[in-house]
Amino acid sequence: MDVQTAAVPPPRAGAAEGSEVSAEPAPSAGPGSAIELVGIAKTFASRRGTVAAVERVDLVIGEGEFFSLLGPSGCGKTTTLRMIGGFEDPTEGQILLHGKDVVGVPPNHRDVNMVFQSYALFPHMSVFENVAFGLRRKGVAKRDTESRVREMLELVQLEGKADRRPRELSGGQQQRVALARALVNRPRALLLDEPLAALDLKLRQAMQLELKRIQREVGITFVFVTHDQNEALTMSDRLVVMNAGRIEQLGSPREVYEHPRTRFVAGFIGTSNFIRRPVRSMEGDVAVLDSGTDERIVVPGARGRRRGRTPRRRHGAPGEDRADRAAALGRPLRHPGACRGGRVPRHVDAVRDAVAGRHLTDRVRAERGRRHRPR
Amino acid sequence: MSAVLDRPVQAPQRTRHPRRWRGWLLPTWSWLVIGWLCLPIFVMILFGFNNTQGKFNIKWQGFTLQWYRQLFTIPDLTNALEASLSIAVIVTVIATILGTLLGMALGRYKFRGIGSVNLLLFANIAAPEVVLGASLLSLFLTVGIPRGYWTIVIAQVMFSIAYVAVTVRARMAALDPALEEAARDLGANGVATFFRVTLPLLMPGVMAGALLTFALSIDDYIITSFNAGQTVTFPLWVYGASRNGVPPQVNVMGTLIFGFGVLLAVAGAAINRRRQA
Repeated sequence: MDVQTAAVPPPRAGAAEGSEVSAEPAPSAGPGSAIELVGIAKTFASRRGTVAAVERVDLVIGEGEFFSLLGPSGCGKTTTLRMIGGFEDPTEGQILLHGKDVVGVPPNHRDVNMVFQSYALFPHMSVFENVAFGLRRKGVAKRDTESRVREMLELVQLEGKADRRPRELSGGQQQRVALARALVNRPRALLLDEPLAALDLKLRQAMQLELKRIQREVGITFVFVTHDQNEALTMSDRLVVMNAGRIEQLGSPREVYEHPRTRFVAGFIGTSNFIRRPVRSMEGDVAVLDSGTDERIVVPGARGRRRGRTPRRRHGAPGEDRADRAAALGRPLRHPGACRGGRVPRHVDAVRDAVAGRHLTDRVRAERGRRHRPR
Repeated sequence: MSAVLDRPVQAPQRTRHPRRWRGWLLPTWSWLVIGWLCLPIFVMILFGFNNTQGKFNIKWQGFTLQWYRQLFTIPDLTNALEASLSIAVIVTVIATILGTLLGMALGRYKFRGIGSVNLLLFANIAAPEVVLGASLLSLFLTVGIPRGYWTIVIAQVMFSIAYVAVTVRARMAALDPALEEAARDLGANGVATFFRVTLPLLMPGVMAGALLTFALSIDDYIITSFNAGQTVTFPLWVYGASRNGVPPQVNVMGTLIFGFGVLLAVAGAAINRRRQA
């Protein structure tokens, strides 16, 4: 039987479906959009011509949202974040911060602050001076600066460390200083570039909760870049999965986890096995796959299709009846783009037997067969 | 089980190395080298206190402080020292500023011709001083610039920039670019970013370059001698005087300059240590 087991470790129990994941479908950004990216593209000049880091990204991030950009390294997520922060200018497109186009506006005139991956704390300044840096540049009165910095150090639980130098602090503490230094300016949005990547697992998990708590307390829009799916899934209100400079999927963690829209997302998020078999028939919401033996593979909830993502959509008119569309699943695949449809998630017991002894995940997806005629 | 417990547990025996010749050879050798390096300086300092009678200050004739009291009794020597000090200060300021800017560019950015500039710096440091001095002289002659105080300054700035640039370049290359981005992000404009973040972090490199420049400038003989014209600097005067006996005041001045240099170096180290504490 043609079963592809994606080489991924078993999932951490409750990694994505724990209490942190909101059950509602993705709330849309709504009217109060904090950040809007309109057709953003960025190409870098290299020795062999130009390299596209980001290609035509459209995105609306809502006010007060915890929004994640998730993807493998080199997918353009950091470049996107840096464009929002003003450290790179897009080659094309518009960046709207609260409705105002800020392309060409330098970082010091943008109402967003950034937490850098390396923290970028000023080593020649004390923790207090680091946090006060932004307020002093803006000419905030001395007494206000003092009290706001103290308040912020309290928020990140570093009250006693004001006079320390960054190098005297642990990684987690440095991370908090970086957070305080950005938040003290009360930005309209906070940009976080893989801020937890340098921490060990335990500290990282603690900081995830901590970040979430702080975000709830200050109510500021957080844009969070990470390559760690656990991080993105546990913390975000919504997220995008990026690949090769494009957005693969936008949605709530639950949506993205349970209904991956593309094969890339399915492979990147969670832990999945891929089964590529022709669909023999559709019985209600259950797809029956041809296993090539006497066994049948029964896959409940062929949701990808219901959302109109079958290749059928390209040929047929919408509103065709389900059986018809199900039949379409069995069509030979010619166009790589057509791969989008026909994924069928959830348990398949037959598969569990088929790869005896292998630890299996709870997600299995079926794709259309290649040499099969619809029945 | 008993088989395991019956056997007495033996602590691992630490093998003691006998104190061999290696134990004392390294310290002895080190102190010999240090002594060798410091000997000329000790002699210079010592003979500044020599109660010498004749023209030559080479035989110990008893302790005196009179040369310290009569430090500025030789007008030509005093003038030469003044010239040297003022040239050194000017050269240090100019070369440090230019070298720092150059070092920053080389340490941070990739630009067309960066390889050639790096090569040029290396060539500048590696080239024999005689060659530099002679070719500068021919340049000044060709262009028709009268040799004197300012040609010395130009010549010394020319060879000092490379030293500053190299030390600053190393420092700059090690600096996380995100630090400057963070400053911009927090509302600092370019100027504030430079003076509050970049420059303070480059300071150790800048200071090292400046000290090096000062030291190179104040005792440069070869290049200066080509381009000095009628101006006499401290090294030029000492060299001229050496034929008919160097007066002990020279030792005293040398001692003072050396002491000043040591003081600066110690102060720099102390500041660095406090900064890192």
